[in-house]
Amino acid sequence: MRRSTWSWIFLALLAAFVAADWLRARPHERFAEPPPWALGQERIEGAGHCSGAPAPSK
Amino acid sequence: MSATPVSSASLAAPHSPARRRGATLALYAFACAAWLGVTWSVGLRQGFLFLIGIGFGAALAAVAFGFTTGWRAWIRDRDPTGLLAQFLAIGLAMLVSIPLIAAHPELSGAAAPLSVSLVIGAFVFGAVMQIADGCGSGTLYKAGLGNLFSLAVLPGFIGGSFFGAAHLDKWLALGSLPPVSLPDTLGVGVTLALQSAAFALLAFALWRLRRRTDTRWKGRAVYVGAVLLAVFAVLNLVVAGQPWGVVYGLGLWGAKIATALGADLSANAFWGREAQQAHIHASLLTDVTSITNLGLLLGAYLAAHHRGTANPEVKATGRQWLAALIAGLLLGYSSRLAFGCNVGAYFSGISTGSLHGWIWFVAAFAGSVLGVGLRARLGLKA
Repeated sequence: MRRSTWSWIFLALLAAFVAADWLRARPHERFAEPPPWALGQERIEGAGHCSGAPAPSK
Repeated sequence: MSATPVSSASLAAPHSPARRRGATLALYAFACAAWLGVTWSVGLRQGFLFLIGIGFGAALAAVAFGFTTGWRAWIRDRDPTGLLAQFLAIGLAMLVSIPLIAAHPELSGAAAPLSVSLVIGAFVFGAVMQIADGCGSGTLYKAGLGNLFSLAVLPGFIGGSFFGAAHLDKWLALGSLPPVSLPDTLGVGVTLALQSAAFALLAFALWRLRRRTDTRWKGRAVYVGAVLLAVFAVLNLVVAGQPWGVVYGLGLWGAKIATALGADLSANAFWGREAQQAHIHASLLTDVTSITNLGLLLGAYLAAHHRGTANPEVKATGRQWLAALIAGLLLGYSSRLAFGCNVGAYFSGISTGSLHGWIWFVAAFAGSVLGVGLRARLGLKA
């Protein structure tokens, strides 16, 4: 198999994943979209980041 | 096995200039359509973040900016070039990000707890990234440009990030101190002076101890790439309200797959939180980390197509392919224990003044010293 074929397969799988996720997800609320940038706007809590941590389990 | 380009062929393998131009135009048309699709579907902010992700991927792939190889070049050959470029990128991003966050409470840094899991996770990540020949951003951009070894690492990375986040509360129970934001503790000026001095001292020491400077990067390109990464990192902070990250998005993709397969994560300490449940049930296009990850994949391919380095030839034995799969899992799992990879913890942690970024750097570098040796034992290309 050509090397580029694997790239095509990867891109197709990725596109299928994004599309399937879109179809499964809650409908997007167009009128609840955040402003184009965060600077100077109201703070939005809950955006996920790698530094996020849960409370330790007891 | 080689994770570096051996020969080149674009997706359409266009050998004639006309075919190559056609393929380039098609790629640009696809990128524009993808950007329009994202913007139309989920809004301008996500559209901007997709573009920033393309910028990250293009900058990384265009100059082969490697966190992993930068460290390996120092450990093995005492070539400081990669590390110096990293210090430049992080330092420049820091000079803008820390004052911005201090002046704008709507922006947040990458502060994370100082935990036992941070040290263990960063050490393991640093070791394994040398075997996988890619860290968080490295694996993603090399997968984007069609490197088969990184494509083999990526699924494990996604699964590992998911499981690592799911088990994070148990690891935190081993011991943890609250996050320490240096600007909050010492003030903005002192933090900038201290961290700049630390980078300057490290750079001076590396330069004095260098043996060569030509193992991988020649000329100024890698430093231009570093400046571009700093610019995109600041833009990411301004648009997203938080610094650049990679691993959270990959773990979220894993959580979405697990949910689609019937898993109920609502009781999990991490994935069951209100914000994470909202992310799992919303489109991944609305998640800031996922959207920059997708842009990064595309940007890397665009840059690699221009350089003629897309779809590099990769030769590996069965044992090495197995190592890639296991390495992916370990990379993902350990990066969640460490509150990020080279991007979320090292780059974004330090550039926003979180002490955990420095601890990550020390522990991961120690791990990499071990990892470079393991890489040689596995017979992977130096």
